[in-house]
Amino acid sequence: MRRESTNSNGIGPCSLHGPIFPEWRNHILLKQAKSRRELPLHLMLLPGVLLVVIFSYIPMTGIVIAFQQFNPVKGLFGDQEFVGLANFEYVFSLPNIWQVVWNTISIAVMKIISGLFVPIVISLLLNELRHVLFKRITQTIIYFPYFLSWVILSGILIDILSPTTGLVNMVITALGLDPLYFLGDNKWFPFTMVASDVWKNFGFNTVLYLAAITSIDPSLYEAAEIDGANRWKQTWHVTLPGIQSVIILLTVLSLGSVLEAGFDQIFNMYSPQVYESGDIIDTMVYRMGLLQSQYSASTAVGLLKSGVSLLLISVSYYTAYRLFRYRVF
Amino acid sequence: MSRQVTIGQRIFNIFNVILLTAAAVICIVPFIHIVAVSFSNAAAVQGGMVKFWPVNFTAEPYRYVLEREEFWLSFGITLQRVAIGAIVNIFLVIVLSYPLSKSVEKLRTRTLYVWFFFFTLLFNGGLVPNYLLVKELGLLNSIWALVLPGAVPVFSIILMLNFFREIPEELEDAAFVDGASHWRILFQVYVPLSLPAVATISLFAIVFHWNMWFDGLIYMKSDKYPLQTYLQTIVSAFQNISILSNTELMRLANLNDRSIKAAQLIIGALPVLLVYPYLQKYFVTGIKLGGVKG
Amino acid sequence: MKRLLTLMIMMVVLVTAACTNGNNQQNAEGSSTEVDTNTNSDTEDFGQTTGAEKPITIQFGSAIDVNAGFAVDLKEATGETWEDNRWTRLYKEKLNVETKYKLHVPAGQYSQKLKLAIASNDLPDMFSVPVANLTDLKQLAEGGAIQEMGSIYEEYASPLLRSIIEAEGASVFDPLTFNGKIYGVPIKMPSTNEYNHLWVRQDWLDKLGLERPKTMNDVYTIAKAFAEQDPDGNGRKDTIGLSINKDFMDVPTGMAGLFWGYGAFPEFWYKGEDGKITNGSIQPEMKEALRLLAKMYQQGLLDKEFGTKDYVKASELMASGKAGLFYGPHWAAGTANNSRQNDPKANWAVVPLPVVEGVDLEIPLKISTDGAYVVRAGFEHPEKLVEMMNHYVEMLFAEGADLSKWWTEGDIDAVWLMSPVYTLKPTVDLEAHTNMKEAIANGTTDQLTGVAKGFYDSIQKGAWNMEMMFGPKDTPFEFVASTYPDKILWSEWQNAPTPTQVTAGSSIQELVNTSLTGIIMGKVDVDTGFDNFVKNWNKIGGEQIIKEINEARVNQ
Repeated sequence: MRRESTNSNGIGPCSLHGPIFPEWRNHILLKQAKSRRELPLHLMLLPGVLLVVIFSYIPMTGIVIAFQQFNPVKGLFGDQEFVGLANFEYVFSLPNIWQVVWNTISIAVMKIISGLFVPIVISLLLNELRHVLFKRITQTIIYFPYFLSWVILSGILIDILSPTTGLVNMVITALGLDPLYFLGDNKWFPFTMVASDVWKNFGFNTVLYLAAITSIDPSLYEAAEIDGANRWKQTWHVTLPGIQSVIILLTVLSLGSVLEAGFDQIFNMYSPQVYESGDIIDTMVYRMGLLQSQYSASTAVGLLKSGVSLLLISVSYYTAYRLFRYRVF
Repeated sequence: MSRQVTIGQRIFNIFNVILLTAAAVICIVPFIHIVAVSFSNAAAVQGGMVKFWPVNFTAEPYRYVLEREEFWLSFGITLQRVAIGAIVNIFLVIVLSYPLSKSVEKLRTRTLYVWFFFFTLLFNGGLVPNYLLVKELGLLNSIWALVLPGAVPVFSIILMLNFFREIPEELEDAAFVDGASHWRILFQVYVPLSLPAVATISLFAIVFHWNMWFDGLIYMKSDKYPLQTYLQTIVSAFQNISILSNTELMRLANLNDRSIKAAQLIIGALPVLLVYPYLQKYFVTGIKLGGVKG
Repeated sequence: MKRLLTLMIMMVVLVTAACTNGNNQQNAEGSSTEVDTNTNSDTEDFGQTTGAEKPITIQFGSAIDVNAGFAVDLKEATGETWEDNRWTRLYKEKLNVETKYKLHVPAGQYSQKLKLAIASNDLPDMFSVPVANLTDLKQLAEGGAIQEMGSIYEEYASPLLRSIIEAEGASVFDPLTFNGKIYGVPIKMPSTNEYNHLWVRQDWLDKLGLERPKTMNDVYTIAKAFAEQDPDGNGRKDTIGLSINKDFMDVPTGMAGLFWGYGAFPEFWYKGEDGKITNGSIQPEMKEALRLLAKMYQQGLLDKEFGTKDYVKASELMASGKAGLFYGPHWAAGTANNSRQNDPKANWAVVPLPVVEGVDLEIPLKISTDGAYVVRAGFEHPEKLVEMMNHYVEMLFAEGADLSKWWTEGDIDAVWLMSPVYTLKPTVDLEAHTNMKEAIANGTTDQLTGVAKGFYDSIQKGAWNMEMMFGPKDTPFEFVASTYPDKILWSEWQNAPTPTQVTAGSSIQELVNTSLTGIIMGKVDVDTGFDNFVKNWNKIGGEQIIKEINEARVNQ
């Protein structure tokens, strides 16, 4: 996204896009050059296109498994039995399927929202720090949890969140409130998943926004300061517009994960008593698969999830384009 | 730089520091716990008695881990894959996102290309076909099985092209009129102007290759496991009791190597933790576009 | 920019180094195999084989961790590796068979790798199929990817091998039988490992002046005292009565033993009074056991958080001296040992499972295996599998076997697992316990041999957990010795899942877990809760499964 918005605030230097050459000369040269300039661009794309065709598009033929009664012994291109939509019907006939879909969507949406919001706020706050060493240390520490797997974290979280001996509940009871059973109570389990997910990942996502913030042209701040804008106003009128395109991009992309509620995390922390609120599509499919080799059903579920993602992202992509003439990517 | 600091700003600064310190504390607590476990006596660990300070201090776990040949072998494999994999990733991200960042006027099929790449982010054929492909290409048990399937990191490309689009077109046009090729424009104008973004996608690439364990498990034999796959096989031996065989269960009788696993975890995460502070150098220098232009 | 460049250059250097290394390794590997084949063709004095034939190389698939401690230790001690050790040399000498591993990952990952090998038609020549992969076995058999092994077993198995594999009944072959044909050789393991034992802190009993539990009432009384009378004497009410984890019906890591005390056999298929196979989870005997647990939960004698804790997590309570009464496997001795290290006063005992009045204790057991060995279709020497197993059991279980060579090496206890094929006599642990007990009583411990000697020696060296598992008194195996095999109720069904088990099995399992956990936690009243549970169980497929199983059994 171009910086029109910055300029329209009247703070930024308007000459940013000013011409270096007289308009006419530029124009003619570009026109002549146009076709000559496109070919190298295609060539630049060629290796990537080839790699993607080989390693992504060719294996995509495996999607047919979703429509088969797949028997692995016969091989991928063997004489498999086609069953139409039977696998999809089977998935939707499972008891509690709609409860599970609802759990998935609600947990995923909460994660999407907080996963966007928290890193933005933290990166803005980090950007306000003037002490460089403190900033760097903080920045580094908050990305530590990203490197711990859920297998490890679940053990630690069970301790920390324990209603009787856990750190968190000690604080809660010290405040005179009743202890909460975060991992065993259907009221709290989904929120616990959201909060711990944000906690694990916000440091890493902050990196992205910090990169965007540091990419902002410092002269914009200088100009703002000359205009008398205080720090708050600078954040509002320079920093946020400056990272706007990254925010929009990540928002649109995260729409694609509306059915991704985090298998690893939930699998390691849930238990039968919170199936009601915490069982998601992926964990259900996993338990199904334990008893048998359910290649077909799980491929069908994967295909459904991809389809929903594609739908949501394309709709938002084209809405943005139709309304604002803006291409998200 | 104006040095007038209002009271409001001062209060904000104090709160800001407190808040970020609190955030840092809750992020480092589990690490301290794991470090404490790694230096503790096994029985105390199994009793859940270790919190944030070692109980019955011992450095034995570290000695044990560092003496194991498999650990260093897998460490070497990981270094290889991170080096090769990250270079391939970074190069492809830069080279692919440049043309894709062009407007439709300059590259008429760019939107088609973008969706062609983006599509692969959403759809994949699943484990079996991917495995068959790698096998048919003869890449099994080779480092390229870990590099090539993920060589085109679409998310980073989409990110990068958004950063590239922020660079004023005039710079490119001017350089082009001066006779520069696309390659020169990319590496002499775009990349130097996008160092924070390049650092970010480099971090992503390095971390991805460092942490990825599943492909190692699928495509490599156990003597060529990368570090995280090796660690995963021993860490998970404790979880998922339900799928273990009788024989493995009996071996669990020795529930005493949790401190060893903690030590392995720390040793396995330290190198990649050090990458970020290094790359942070590229996050502090904002580039004045006006200056470059003049 | 410069720094970034240096970084990149450094990486390039690394890459080049790495690549050349890789090449070197490959070359080295290539040349070494050449050397190997040369030496092999030169040597012709490998007697027992049928002439100077080229050795048969067999690619194996094994679900044992390559990096397991004992393998690493053995390599350090004697230089033996998985593909070249005393066992593989034995097979080379006796059968002219060379061992290679095509698939060698721990059980947790084996299933995944096996599925890929199946789908890509890239199976090892001989491989183990763990119990958890019964469905894969079925697909392999019905897809013609593995060989029928029944006739080969009949022809080649030595009497010793037969006596071991069929020791607990021929139904050990049931899970491997499809359309009347047997598709593998079971990896027989001691079923006594599947016992669930009651562990109790003797020092706590003594302190509170309590007797050992004999009835379920005693269990309740002791749990109440342990929870409320401060058995650890620290002046705080921080102990729990009876430890329980979220998978409480599992065997052997749950508390199935408590249910057995009521004559209830959760998640177990056996013949009911009408002679039909039925499932223990839905029988009325379950109710009383659940009533006790619900009462204990309500009175705070159970860990309020058990629903989120698995076996390993829950065992922290024992190790840290917060719990002194629990049902668990015999190898919970490791946990007990940790608790002793944390508190030298801790003194554990295993007591015979308590029962309610009028119940004659029966121990429900599956015929325990680690799965089966199968041979891929098209492999020319399926008989080598059985022959290797013949030699294996000969070395370990024949009269005068040298166990100090084949079972252990010094302190390394699992040399028996270094063989590409393994199987154990079901009574191997039990006999060792009995022999050792007699020898200690008679003062003849110097005459001990075999596994018993191994046990005894490590106990003498101070391995307390070995003593706690296999020792003569107050140990799991003392209880095993008094009940095996007379009191065993053998499972009637451990075959591959029936069609309805495939489609509804996970939903049923989920129902069992959630309903029974809910009943214990007092979310519903025991009677109505359990009756509803049984109704639902039948409705979502249980009834159908019972029907299918009984039909399959009749047709078998």
